[in-house]
Amino acid sequence: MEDKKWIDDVMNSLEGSSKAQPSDAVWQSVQDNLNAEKEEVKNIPQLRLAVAAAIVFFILNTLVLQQELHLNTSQPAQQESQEQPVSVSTNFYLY
Amino acid sequence: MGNSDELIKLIVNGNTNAFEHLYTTYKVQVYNTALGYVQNVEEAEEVAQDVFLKVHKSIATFKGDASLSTWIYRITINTALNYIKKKKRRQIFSVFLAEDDVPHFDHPGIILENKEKAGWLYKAIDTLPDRQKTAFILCHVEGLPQQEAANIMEISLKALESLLQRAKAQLRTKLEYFAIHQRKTKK
Repeated sequence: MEDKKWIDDVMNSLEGSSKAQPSDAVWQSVQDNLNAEKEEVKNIPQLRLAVAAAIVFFILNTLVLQQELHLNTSQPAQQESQEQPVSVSTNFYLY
Repeated sequence: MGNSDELIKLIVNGNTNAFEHLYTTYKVQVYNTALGYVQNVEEAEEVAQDVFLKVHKSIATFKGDASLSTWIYRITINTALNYIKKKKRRQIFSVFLAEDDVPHFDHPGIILENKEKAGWLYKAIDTLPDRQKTAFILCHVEGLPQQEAANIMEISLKALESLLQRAKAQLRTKLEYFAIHQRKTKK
């Protein structure tokens, strides 16, 4: 019987209660988050530009490197073809 | 509804004052609903913050087939339930699992003489299945009319009544257990 009364009281304990108010910090955090998002959106074109510049830089570097490598590998062959065996003596006669 | 449409248009166009107006209008609704679920002042503020960020992000997709208030209630409920799920997942690995004998939540809006009893009620609410919990919070904590609660939950009025009946029965069983347990610990 005592328990029943206690349970009834507990079930009705929200009567007369008022609504709680969130602290001002909530709106501040919401604003901060929205501003951060805006900042991110603003930075996206700059980021894209930086990435594009990095890609162009990489491609140019690769091309220059390839050319360098090509030159290095073709030069000895050319030199080899240009260089005729030079003999010190021609007919093995001693003069 | 016309006012809501205007407000939504302004927010979509990036009007900060319009969003602040929406925040001021719905902050108490969002915060108190979140408080009913998470039962912690700081966590309810975290949920409220999340809700308003989601509202801002997706307000352009709001179709207007429900009222703005109903839509915000739905976002709040989903955000709060997800928050609780994540929290429970984190607690699986916690050594300090709740071995509570006493209620832990002190709702800031409850009158002083009812504080302790309301604490027990919230402790019992916390044990309800999600749908029963939502029905009880909307009707008995938020004090919404049953039809509005049914709209928010996207169920019929009959289904809502059934959920409320089961929720109350389960709450009474739980409170009975708390009463017996309390008596035992006092001895």
